Amino acid sequence: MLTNRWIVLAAGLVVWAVYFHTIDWLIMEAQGLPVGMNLMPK
Amino acid sequence: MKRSHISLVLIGSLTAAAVFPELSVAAEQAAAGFEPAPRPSRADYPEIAGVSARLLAWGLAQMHLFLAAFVLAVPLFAIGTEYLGVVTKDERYDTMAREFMKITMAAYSLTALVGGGLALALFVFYPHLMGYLMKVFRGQVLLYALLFGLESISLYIYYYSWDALRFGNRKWAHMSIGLVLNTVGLTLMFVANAWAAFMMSPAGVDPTGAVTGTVWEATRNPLWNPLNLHRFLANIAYGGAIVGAYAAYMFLNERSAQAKAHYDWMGYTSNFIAIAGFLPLPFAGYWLMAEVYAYSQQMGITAMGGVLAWLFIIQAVLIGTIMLAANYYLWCGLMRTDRGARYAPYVKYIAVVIVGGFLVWVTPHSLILTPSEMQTLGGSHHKLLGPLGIMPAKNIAVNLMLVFTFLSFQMFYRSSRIPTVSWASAGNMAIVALYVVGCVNIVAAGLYGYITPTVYKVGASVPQVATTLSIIVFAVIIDIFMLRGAETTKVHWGRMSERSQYALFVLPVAFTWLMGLMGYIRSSLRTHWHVYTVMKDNSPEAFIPTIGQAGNTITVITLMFMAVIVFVFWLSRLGATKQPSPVPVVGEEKQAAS
Repeated sequence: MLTNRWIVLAAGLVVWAVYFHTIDWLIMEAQGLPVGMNLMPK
Repeated sequence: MKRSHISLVLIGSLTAAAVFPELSVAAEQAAAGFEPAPRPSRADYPEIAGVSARLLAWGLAQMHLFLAAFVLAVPLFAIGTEYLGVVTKDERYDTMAREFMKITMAAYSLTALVGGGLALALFVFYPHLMGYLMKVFRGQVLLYALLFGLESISLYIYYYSWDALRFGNRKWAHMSIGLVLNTVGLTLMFVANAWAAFMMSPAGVDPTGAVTGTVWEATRNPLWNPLNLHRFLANIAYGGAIVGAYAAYMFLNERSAQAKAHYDWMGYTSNFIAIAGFLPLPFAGYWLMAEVYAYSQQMGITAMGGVLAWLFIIQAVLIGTIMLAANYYLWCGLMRTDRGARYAPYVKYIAVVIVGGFLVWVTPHSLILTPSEMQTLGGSHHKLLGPLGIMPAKNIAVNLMLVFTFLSFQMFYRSSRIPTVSWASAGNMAIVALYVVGCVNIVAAGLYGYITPTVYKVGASVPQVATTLSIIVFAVIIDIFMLRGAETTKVHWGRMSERSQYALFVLPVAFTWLMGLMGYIRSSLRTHWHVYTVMKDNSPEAFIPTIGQAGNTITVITLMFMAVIVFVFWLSRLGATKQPSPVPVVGEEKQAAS
């Protein structure tokens, strides 16, 4: 399966998306800035 | 033997670090009582022959900093290059490291000369300030003098023993001397940084300026470490850029293919060092600025929201120039390899990102407008371009520019290597996915800043930095595994256009200008204080000059430094030039007769 480059591309997109989302979340939380709050002005 | 040498140096350094606080305490005990900082009146500042004291101190300090940055940085990467020569057993690295040091030697005495001139100017024109700083830092001033002596001794031994300690265990002894040189050099810089940082964020003194703490407390003031990191990285980038210009100067002067190949390789390596130092620099600068804001919000606003803010636009132009020049040089470098042409189609896309990022970065937020211009515009901000003037847009721009500059490097590196592993195609796709998702994340985190309060806007810049660094680190890791046992193709060093070499001249000019500009901003943040909030500057020149005047002064200093650098290059070349004898030498005559 790993020899099919298009499958690797699709899997890579998912894996990296999970990785970057996780570090975004961890870094924001570490700064005391919880992600997901409704921050839009009402 | 090599281990013992290195251990000796490490133990020495650690012992010095451990003893240092003890010295501070001893000095503290000997210090005078709790006297407030001096309050000199205007009449207390000497006026000598109509000389502008500030201009003189500014010029000398800036020149000293340029030279010192260069002289301290080159041994750092010279020892790294020397070590590479030992590991790879490639003599060329050793020759290049020695050549790096040769340029440094020519600049070293000038550094000391200008430094002496600066010290003299400060003591003559600002005696009260210097007296106060001596009172705060006490014995550390003597330590600085001692370190300077050690720096000189270790520098001369390191350079002149190069051929005497070239092979085997002696080589490790030579590198140990280099390690001592770099340890002393960095300590020197950290000590000088403590004084500059103390003037911005004083510590170890009470609000009247009375010395209440130890020398260590004054040294370890809030801006010391951010300044240390920023200058350390900037020095490496700067030193790399200057030796790169030297390589370009030699490349254009030399006629033989062999010499051209050598200087082309040296130019490439120097450019690599300059960019390697430059890539993390915006993050170090960001940390320094964040600490400035944390220490004094007023100081931060003076820098980025007040009179000095416009200078950051000039900064953006200069950094954009550096990025464009470095990338252009790398793209030209693709012609050195036979497979380089296959990467050429991608260059235009990278160029779009670099130029686009550059344009976003130079877009100002607040414009200086006449009432009629404001009416035509429909407000004080442009509807479409206004949003590009704030930090989220600039953070997206700078991170993407850094990522794509790294991509230019990666393309050149891979243009001479054909992966032979079975999963090469899949590996390439993993890298493509990394770049795509990483860039999307950088853009998304920037856009997030538009819809959230300021604290989130600032906070979101950290994941952007982490993303940029992640892309670089993971791409390197995948490449290391994928290019293991790769088939390498010849790199034709010297097969480089002459115009590409001018990009290597652009780098030090832009770096010098940039350092002068940013140094001026950092120093001006103290506004009318010698030592911020503690000792007022009552001299006739205690005002922030207009942007034009500051710009002109910085430009003149930059031009003067470039003249010095050309002189240093000329000296280095002169040192290697041998005049042929007008008459045959005795040995040759005998040889001819036989």
